[in-house]
Amino acid sequence: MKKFVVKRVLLSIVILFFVSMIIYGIMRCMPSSFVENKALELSQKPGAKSYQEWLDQLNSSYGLDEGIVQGYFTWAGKAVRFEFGDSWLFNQPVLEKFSSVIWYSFALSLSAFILEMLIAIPLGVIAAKKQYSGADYAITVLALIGISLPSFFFATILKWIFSVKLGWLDLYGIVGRMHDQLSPVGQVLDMAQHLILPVITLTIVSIGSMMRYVRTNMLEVLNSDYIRTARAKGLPERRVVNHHAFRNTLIPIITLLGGTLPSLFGGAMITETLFQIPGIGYTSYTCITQGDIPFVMFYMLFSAVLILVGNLIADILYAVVDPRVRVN
Amino acid sequence: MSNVEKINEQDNILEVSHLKKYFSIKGGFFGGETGSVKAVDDVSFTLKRGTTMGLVGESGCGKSTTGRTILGLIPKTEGKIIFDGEDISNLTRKQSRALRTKMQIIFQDPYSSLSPRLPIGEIIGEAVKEHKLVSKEEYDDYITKIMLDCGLQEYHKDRYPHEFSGGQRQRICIARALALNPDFIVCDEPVSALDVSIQAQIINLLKDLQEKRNLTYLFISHDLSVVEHISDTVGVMYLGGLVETGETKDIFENPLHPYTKALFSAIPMPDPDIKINRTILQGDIPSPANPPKGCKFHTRCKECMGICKEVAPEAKDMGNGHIVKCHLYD
Repeated sequence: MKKFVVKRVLLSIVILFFVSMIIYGIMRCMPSSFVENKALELSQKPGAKSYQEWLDQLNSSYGLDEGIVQGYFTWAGKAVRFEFGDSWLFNQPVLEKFSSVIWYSFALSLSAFILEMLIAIPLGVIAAKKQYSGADYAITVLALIGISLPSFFFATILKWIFSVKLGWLDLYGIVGRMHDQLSPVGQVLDMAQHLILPVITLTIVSIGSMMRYVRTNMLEVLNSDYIRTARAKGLPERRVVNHHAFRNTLIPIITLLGGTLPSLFGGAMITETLFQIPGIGYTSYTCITQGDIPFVMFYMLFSAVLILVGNLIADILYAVVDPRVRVN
Repeated sequence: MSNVEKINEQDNILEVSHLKKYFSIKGGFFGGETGSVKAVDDVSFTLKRGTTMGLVGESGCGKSTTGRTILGLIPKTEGKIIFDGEDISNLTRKQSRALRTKMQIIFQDPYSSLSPRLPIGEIIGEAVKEHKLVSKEEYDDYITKIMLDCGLQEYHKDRYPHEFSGGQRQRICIARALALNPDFIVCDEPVSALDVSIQAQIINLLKDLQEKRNLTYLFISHDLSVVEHISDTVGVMYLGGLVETGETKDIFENPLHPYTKALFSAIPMPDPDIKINRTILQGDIPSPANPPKGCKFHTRCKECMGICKEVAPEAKDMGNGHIVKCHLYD
């Protein structure tokens, strides 16, 4: 096991190297760059230097006068020492900006994740237990709607109902207009209220695939021979389903969930942008459109690490829950 | 135990009459019922306490369905089952669960019929706890004793099924069934997934246990030599119905039904010099969803007569409980 983890970590480092290299290459090749926009802006001021002069000056001060390969290694040399530089757009250290926005994303993703599990797993089990019944069809159709509806469409409908028609919740933002006048408890509640619609959106769109996954796995287990054995033992149906079937269904579910845990920090770019929640997803979206290379590089690298860690956790969990893997 | 008592004990533990199991076929645009597969169609037999009845027939003739329907693992369509003097045809869920301590089943595939996530001790003991068969203090010893009886060791308790070979797994399955201390066990092809040397061990284990515990077996198999070895009586099934039943000796030495004759002529002989006159059946087994009219076997029978195509033969007793359903003996 230890050997396995070490091997995987070493492999991950190699993967990260190539991932960052590709991202850096893409970022440098983007048609509109932060520096060009800024040079244009500065050159239009009265009595300013010409666009070309500004461009050359900014390029050298932002380190863009180096070639792509050289520029990458300069970046990588600093990155291995955890120096990610300053965000060009926000004029503050990348890590500082990151740590100030990440918790919004985490709160949003975690709430949606918990809701998703609380709804999807029982629904999946019920659908499998009563295969081809009315309940099963209803749940399956619901799941299909969740999978098919894009989050922006669903978010818009939610906004229309709850913000425009009913006026219960604000259209977007993380805090209300009166936020500063509220007590600390009130401030937290205010934020929670603003997270309601984004959380519902995220939950609805993710619930479908999870539920179908649970249903499929549960069905497979319920039709297996050892469930027949459990029934032949004369165990109550509740025990057959909860103890024998669900326990065996848990393996793929835990593997899947373990893998998604790190991605809770990854932010939900579309949903955050739609509701203008200043989380990591929305911030990164802004940075990508503006060509803020240091921040985007950090965010992309961070996402890659999350995925690698997720896969590693999934593999380790797989060994933990399955005695057949554990022995080897 | 005196002889008189022994004879009295030779009562019928199981009486099955006119058992039917039809599986409905769903199809059509609105998913309505378009027909039914007659997996078990009017099966009747009795089984004496402490004996073994072999149930033979080719694949898909309804042997396993018969066994499982008797146990109530599959709900029956029609018919009456009397077990130990009690009618168990229409039990509630709770009652049929209680019945599991009296009737058990050993499944065919010991690889897939054990939950991979439970240690052996729990697989065997779980139902004992559930039905509260022994007190907590006795529990450990009870499980150990059953495991030893079935040729397993005490240290196997904490191991998982994947750590065992096929033969050992089947021993676990047997121990699992025995742990409930049943009177009657349906052995649903318990040895067909095992290789021949292991088959012999398991068969002998089953025989030993039968003697020790006065068990009654319904032994489902397509392996005729195994059935001849273990059974006291034999039932031959074809397309959901019993065509011939009787004592093992009578059936093997003097098969009456043309299907039984064809089936037995297929038994391989250990001596290659012996020439056997094999009866090769023509054609496939007809679909149980649409069985032939009259005698179900007439489409493949060599001695088919006019009446066979029209009228289903009645059961006839040819003496010594040897019952055959064939127009040849009218």
